[in-house]
Amino acid sequence: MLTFHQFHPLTLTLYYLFLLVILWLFKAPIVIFLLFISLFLFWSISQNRKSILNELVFVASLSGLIMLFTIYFYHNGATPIFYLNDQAVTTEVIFYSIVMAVAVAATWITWQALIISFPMKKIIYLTSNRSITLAIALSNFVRWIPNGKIQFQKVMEAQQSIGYFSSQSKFERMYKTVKIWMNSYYNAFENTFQKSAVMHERGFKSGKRTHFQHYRFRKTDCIIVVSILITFFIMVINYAQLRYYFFPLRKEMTVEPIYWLVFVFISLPIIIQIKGWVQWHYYKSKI
Amino acid sequence: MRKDLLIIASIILLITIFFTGTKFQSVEEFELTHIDDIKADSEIVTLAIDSKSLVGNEHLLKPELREFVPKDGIILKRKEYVLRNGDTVFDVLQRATRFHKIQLEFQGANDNVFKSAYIQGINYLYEFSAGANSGWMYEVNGEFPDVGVSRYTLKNGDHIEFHFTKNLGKDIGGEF
Repeated sequence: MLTFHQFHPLTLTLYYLFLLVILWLFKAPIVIFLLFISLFLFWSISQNRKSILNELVFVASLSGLIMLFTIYFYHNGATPIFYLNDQAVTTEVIFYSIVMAVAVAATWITWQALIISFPMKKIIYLTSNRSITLAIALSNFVRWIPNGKIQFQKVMEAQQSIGYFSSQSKFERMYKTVKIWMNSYYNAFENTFQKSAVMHERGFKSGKRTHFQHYRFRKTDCIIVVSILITFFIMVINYAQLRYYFFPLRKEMTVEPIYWLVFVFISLPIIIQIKGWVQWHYYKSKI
Repeated sequence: MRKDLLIIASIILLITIFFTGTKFQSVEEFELTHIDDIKADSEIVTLAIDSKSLVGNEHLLKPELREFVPKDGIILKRKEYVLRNGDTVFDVLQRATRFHKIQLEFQGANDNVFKSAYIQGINYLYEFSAGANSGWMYEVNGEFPDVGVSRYTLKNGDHIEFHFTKNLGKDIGGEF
């Protein structure tokens, strides 16, 4: 029973890179919207209701801010609606701001999905064949921020319980929060990087160890990698025809034939996860 | 932390809006239906806008921009405008483009270190549209001033021309 996370790390890396490159290189609105919806659904499968709601609120606020910034500073476009400080605000700019806001949201959610798909051992696996030092450095760097977050939460809870924030002054409470934040991340930085010394002591860099392969490159991995590469090659060759432009007049939104393949790739995680979930429940019902 | 970042971004936006202001105008209010009448005692300047350097070089532009290069390259034929007291090149350009409904995008004088308005695009032809060295330059009475458009104060009888250059002015006689 295959879930999306079980694909080979190389397949996953190529997949996420492909999505991000397609998103920002071609900027096709339909692709951007579908990517956001699909990856958000994929990410939300592994989350509780509160996290999903928090994430939705954050993404909506971020998108709103990006839209406002874009509308305030971009004045290209052939169809003015009104003028702001003697510069036109056009329908093209408003459409562009919506698409860019969703693109940033899609990038954010892609990163969230990537974090789920890539625990530390996968990062080490990817880079250890090239350079073990890089593998250790990269995995420690990636772990620094999550460790810092955990440390920050622990310390905040402990300090709140002993009345550290009992001051009336908002600025004093803010100052204390910032101080705890800095100390937590500094502490995480120190502790995370000591781990490399421990791993080194255990012979991780000695070259004498062999490692058992957790990840196998299966037939499905091969099919996905080859399909992604072919699709990307075709899209790059047809870049002039496929790229979407917003100014001065919006390009008409059409779905080129190659985009159907892109839609399949975009929906892959959610389809595989749903299939795995249905299978699991089916087998469980047979017990 | 994400909430804090959003709050900081909102504060930056509010400060920007506060300092740049919010002057809203409808399309009808903005586009001038009448420009100053030229009288016998009026002080006059002339203004012309062209993108002749792009005629025959449309391949340098993206396909969606090529339709905005006129066949003869002339966006605004030389016309006379009343010179108001203290008018700069930018003031005349802005009035003319508003009256003739020519698209204009500029960066305000307070938004750059030169303290002058900077012309980013006219008629949807922007700086860098035809390469890294392309953009708009202006000349007054046949000479290319070395000050920004809103720092050049005009006199009676001045002739202003805006040209689109592909190569930092080398193709229009205005190289540094």
